Amino acid sequence: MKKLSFLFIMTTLSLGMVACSSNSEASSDKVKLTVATYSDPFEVDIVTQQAEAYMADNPDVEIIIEPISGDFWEVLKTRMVSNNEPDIFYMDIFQAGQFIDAEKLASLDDLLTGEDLADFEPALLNGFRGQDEVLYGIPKDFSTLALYYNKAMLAEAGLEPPTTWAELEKVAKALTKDGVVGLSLQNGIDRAQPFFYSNGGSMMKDGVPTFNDPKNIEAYEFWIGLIKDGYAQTPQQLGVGWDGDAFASEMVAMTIEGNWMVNSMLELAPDLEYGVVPIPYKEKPASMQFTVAYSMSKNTDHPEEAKDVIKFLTSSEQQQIVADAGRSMPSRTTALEEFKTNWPERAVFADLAPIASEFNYGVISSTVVDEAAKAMEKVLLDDSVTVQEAFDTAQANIDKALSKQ
Amino acid sequence: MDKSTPKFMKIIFYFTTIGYACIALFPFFWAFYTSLRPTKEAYKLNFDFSNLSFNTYIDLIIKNDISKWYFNSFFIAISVTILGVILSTMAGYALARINFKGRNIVFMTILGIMMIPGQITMIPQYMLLNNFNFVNTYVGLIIPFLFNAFNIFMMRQFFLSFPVSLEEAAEIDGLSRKKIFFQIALPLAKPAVTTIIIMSFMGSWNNFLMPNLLITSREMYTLPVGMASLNSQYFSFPNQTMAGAMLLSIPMVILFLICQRYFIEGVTTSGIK
Amino acid sequence: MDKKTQENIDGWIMVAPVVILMLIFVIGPALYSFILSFQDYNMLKPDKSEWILFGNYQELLSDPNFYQALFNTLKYSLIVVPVQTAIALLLATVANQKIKGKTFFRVAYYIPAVTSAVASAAMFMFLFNTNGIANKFLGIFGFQAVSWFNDPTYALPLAMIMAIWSTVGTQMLVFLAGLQDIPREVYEASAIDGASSARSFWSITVPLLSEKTMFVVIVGMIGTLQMFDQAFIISGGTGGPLGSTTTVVLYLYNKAFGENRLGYGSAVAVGLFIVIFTLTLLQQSFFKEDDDNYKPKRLGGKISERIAKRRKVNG
Repeated sequence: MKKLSFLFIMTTLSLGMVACSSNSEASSDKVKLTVATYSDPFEVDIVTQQAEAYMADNPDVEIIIEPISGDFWEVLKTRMVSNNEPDIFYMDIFQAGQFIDAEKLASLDDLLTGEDLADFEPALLNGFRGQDEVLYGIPKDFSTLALYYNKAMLAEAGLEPPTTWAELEKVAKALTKDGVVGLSLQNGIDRAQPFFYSNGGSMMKDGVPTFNDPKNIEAYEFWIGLIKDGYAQTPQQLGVGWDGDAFASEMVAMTIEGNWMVNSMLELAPDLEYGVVPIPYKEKPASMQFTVAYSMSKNTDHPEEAKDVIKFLTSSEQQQIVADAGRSMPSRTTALEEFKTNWPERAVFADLAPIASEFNYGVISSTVVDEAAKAMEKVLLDDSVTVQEAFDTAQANIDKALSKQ
Repeated sequence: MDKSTPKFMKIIFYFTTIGYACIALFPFFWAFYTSLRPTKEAYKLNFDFSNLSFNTYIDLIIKNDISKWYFNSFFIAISVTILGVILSTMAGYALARINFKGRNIVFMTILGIMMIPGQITMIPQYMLLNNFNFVNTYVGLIIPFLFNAFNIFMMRQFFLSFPVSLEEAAEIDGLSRKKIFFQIALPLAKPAVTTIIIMSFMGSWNNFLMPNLLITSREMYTLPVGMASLNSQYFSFPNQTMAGAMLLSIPMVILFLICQRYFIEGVTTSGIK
Repeated sequence: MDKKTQENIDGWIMVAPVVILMLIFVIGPALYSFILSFQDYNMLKPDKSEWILFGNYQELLSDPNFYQALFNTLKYSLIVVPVQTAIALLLATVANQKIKGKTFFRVAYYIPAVTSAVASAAMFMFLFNTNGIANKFLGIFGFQAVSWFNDPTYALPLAMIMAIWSTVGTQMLVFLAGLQDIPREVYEASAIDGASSARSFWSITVPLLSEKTMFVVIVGMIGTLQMFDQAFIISGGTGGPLGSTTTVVLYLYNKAFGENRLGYGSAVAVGLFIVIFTLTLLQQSFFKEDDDNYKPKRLGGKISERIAKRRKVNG
């Protein structure tokens, strides 16, 4: 036992030395840049491929990909406190506000020429601009929300896919029969928000969350009405993990989800015939966007090189790779056209970009999402609470959290 | 359970023992079953044994460098266990058996440490390890985890109930503290040491929060970090998650199978050498 | 060198390695957090942090959400600890018997402890689904089907069931190891005296395991008061439904990582520390033990002396 442990101490230490020394070696005079990505192998493979292409053209730069597992933001923030963050990292529109506000991101304003900038859908860029209108992230891809419907079920009932709220209610009601529920609705801001905007409401005004906007409340009353009347149910009520599962197993006739569900449908129910249309509207059509950009750390030792890498990663040429991969949609209009040709059944998501409101609530985005979830849950579970009361409470909590920033 | 036990008692006894075994095993069985199902059925909550296969496992193993993750996890867990158990046992013994100055302060501090939620010390810990250049190294994944308050506490509790007379006899025989510890106390503590071996190994094997901060490259992934990396941003399929969970737990089950033999009912005098 | 000095030297040599590791890797960061609790420290804006002394604590004490979290946590701990200790003790006794398939039972009882939190959460989703097996089973006894995950009345009990199920295995292990210290002769002697199995369990097993029980209870208490995983999984991080699964650490986590308020999060941690510390102090019997450290408990002492004598003879 003693000998064995001695052996282990020695191997451990020596291996550690090897690891340390190889780290501190840095013998090559290459510029090293770290790029943090989500850890999902699909993402990492794309970025690795792109990085290799860049390094082939720029032999003096070495790009090190650092995929982050678990909670990306928890890890990124912890590394920022230690001034040890990567040079380049993914930036979700949902998280961007706090990093911009804390001046953690470097300006990327001079990175794109006017012509380049025009190639991006303006709605996608907005979430990455600070109050000062400076651009702190270049979108790499995005997703939007739309309405999925089961073709066979609608055809059987002789119904057309709904386009307005009134039609949605009518169709959902008609399809709720024989153990099938008309609509599956995930009861959260990240699915309900298009209804707010469609009703003329909004979530942000002058950089401050406006959750209890009267128009939002009105829209949510419609949403919760569908559930309370039984024409719609949440995945939890249906006893499944998420909308995709309910839709694939034909428990529901319709659901509101993003383009990522197209890929899961291929796995879950490849034979199911379904269609996708824009989310039914009231005053004006609306959707919601989930955009991810590349941002650069303000602490980087090599800002010029890092900028060049971001420029390369978001170039038209590299956007084609995103378009071909077919998961999220490329953020450049030219590549998006290509995406629509490649994946015609997903074109509807691409077309929604200009009317997609941002999944972004400033510096305390996650508090806003949590408070919204709590308020919506309260309305769902407690019949004595009105939407107005629940939303007002949530807004008060949001305002309080904001004042502590 | 001896021969005099009434029959109905035996029946109740077996009914409860088997009953709880089912409760304990069923979820594990369910995870295994889910991992064998094709993706499109994995969400379904029913039993259908017609098309089970190991495809998910094969897929997982082919597409990822799982052997490397296993190596890292084993190497780290074995190192942490061996070194950590020696240190914890020694400290536990001293805290229970040697009346040295400052003993109570040391013990209370160790006890106090367990009361601090890890979620809050995680950030200063990372800052420290970063200053030590421990990020993304084996040393960084081993050394900080050698201190284990739970194990020290547990060893102390075990040594507390040890027969004092044994040590007194040894002291009269002129044995040094070192010899008393290694030759008398340690062999007697075999069941307790076995327990902390299992617990240390399990702790290191499943450790996620700090390793996930410290590991920055795929080559250094431990099994839990590697498995977590497969979760996609929006969803992952249950059969994959469950297959991952199985790959993660099976080595622990085997370790337990090996170690449990050291729990032999009652101390028998013949067992002492 | 006198005995006292020798003891001091021996003792410190044996604890020195862990004390050094502890000071560097644990106490240092813990003190840092403690200092932060007196600052308005935003994780992303460390340069702009200010000393606000007890400001964080004042805010903490006036936040109803904190009290709800504390109430949930205490309720959870108060139920989980006794139940899991009792089950673990019973299972250990069973797994220590000479019965057919002993290995099987030991492995079966331990398996929940090695199952990852993600896997067990998914299994509980399946079992405790509205249309799931648990509801069907309870239906036999006339219980109405409930929506465990979405009903504020049942979400916390579900977290309790999950916690008990998954921790009992490890605690059984501690008891199982503890049972090895009890010589078989003791049971034989009591059997000769005509004691039933149940009686010898209460009069021998339970008292002789007191140090291990203390360990299991204290560790269980600390673990439950720091409950995070189950709550996070069941509620998806929000502490819902209707705040029924908000625990202190979940509250802390959302403040520290959601709102970046590391200073406030540290104050929550200090608050929780004080609560746990007080509750541990209240376990009086545990601290009484310090007085007679060197005099093993009466029964244990007699037995161990007897065994020691025998060993001497045999060895």
